Amino acid sequence: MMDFGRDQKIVLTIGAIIVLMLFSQIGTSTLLGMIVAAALMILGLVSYSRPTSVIGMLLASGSAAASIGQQSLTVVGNVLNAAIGLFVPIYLLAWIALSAEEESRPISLRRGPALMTTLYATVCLLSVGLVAFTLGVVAPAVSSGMSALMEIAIVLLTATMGITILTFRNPRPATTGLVEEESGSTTTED
Amino acid sequence: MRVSPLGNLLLVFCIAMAFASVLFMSISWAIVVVALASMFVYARLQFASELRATKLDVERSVLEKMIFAKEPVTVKVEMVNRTTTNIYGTIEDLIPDDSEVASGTNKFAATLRPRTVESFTYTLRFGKRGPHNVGGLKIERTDSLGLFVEDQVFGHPTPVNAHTKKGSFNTARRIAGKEHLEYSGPSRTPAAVIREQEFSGIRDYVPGDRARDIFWKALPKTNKLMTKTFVKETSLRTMLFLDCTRSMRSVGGGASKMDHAVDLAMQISNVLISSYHPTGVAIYDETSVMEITPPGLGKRKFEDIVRVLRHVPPSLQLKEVPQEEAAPFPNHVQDATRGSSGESVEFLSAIADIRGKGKDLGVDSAIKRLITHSKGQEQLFIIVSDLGSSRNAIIGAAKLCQQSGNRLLVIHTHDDWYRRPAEMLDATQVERMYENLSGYMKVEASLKGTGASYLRVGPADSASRIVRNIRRGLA
Repeated sequence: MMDFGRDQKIVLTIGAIIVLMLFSQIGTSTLLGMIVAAALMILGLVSYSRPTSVIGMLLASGSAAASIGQQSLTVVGNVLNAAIGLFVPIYLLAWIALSAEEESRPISLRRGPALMTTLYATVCLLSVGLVAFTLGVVAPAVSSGMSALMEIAIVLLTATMGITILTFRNPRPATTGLVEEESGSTTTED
Repeated sequence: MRVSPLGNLLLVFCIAMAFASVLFMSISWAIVVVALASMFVYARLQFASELRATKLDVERSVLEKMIFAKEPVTVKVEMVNRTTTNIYGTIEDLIPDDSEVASGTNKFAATLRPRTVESFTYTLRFGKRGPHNVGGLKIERTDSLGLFVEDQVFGHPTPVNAHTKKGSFNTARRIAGKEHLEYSGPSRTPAAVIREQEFSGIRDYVPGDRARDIFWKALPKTNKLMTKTFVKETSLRTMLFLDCTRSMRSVGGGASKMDHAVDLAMQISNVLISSYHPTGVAIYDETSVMEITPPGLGKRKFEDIVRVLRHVPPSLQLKEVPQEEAAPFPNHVQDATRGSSGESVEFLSAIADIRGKGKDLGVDSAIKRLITHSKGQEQLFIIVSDLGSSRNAIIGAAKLCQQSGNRLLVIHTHDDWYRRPAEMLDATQVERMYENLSGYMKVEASLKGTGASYLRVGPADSASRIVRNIRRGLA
């Protein structure tokens, strides 16, 4: 069970935005976008406003995606770049923004969901490499000519398939507890 | 599990990012999609895991001993969270459709701490008499990141049975001391009150006969002593039958015949008990006597009668059939099925077939059994019915009473008088009502032909008015 205070969340937000900026090509628009995003997120955290924080997070994500010139994911260095410079900060920002409530609940990390999410993210990030490897074994000529569009398609397809599979099943109905007895009136009168 | 508006916003943003990724041919946008989708997946799996692990004990109790329609009823709900984590959400104790919260609230946001008993109380007002189910406990839960919403229901509904309105009980108590209803007849059993000694016949003198009973006028003619004999007359044992058949329960938009009949049965039986009539009540439907309490006297008897009347099924709100399509005077089972589905017609036709084969069903069979067990003791039977589904059975019962020397009073809840009394009628409707009335008058004639008493009542007729009419000989 983890419980982060507001100040810790602000520090984490600033840290995540700095990491995003470190990995991006900083232009005026990126800088402006990141500053506004950080301000909105901090404002949301201070005023316990989840919508404000979420808007800030979306702005930060958009700015980072636009400014980081991520190349092919077939190279290990690029994958690490994408994971550390983009995936982890955005994931962190999303979590902070979504938990920006006055009475935010402590985060209870359950092993099952955490493992499945890690697996999902890993598969998505390595999907291009895995496909390229498979194609390299099966059809080497196709593998060498993998375009950016194809890589995007592979990542998006994997992400969509993964999300569909993992959220397909509905949870079982909860345990209903004690069986209710007859009311006082019926027992006393009959 | 539903996705919250915030979750939908996140999904829409992901889709937009995916399009941007393709549009700008940059994989960075796709990475953002993966990051947000991962958050989405984690939130869902975590929430599903929380929902699965939730264990909540719910205990609901109704604090009042007697529950009346239109009167507040206090409901207490106790909850124990048996998990090790808090349960967050909006808690709502589900109430029946025909009831309303009178005071307090049955819905509020709460945090249920682990291993702690939490409770809340509110008052509820039931709209009508009959059985109701209160609960279970619904918790509208949101995941910790606000992306998903789920309604969970815990505990089982609590069945409660609401009596008729409290005013009806008060009326029953009030008129019991004021109104009197007396039906006297010969009795062979010890009675609480002997009304009078009725001349029975003359027999030969037996030593020990009282001098005042000797028929002196016969002595010169017969030259022997003769004795006049008398039978004691007491209040008749009375059985009140309440019709709970489908036609009686159906409500055609106006007042409920069944509810009115329950009030009348309760009030008349209390008047009879207060007049020292050993009184019992039975409720019956198309196939059987559902509940019965034998004739008796005393304060406890009224409580017994109330207990039996609590089992009267609730009224049925049937779909309205246009008046021009409605059948004229009911023939056999039509009245019972007016405004109801084809299934009802089939059901009642099946009942009619079974009755035709001589099976022991309905009120006539119940009366027959009571007469058989009475060992010749005269009895009074009062039937409150709309003469719909059980009309033939009641006519059969009247003939049976005539043959066995018992008395029968039919209180007819006239269907047309219970249908929207304030509504303006057109010519077709008036014609149909006239046909119905003339049809029922034939039934009345056939009942009176068998010596039964008959009284037609509407929703405005109170028990005291009915008692007075019976006493005046209008029945």
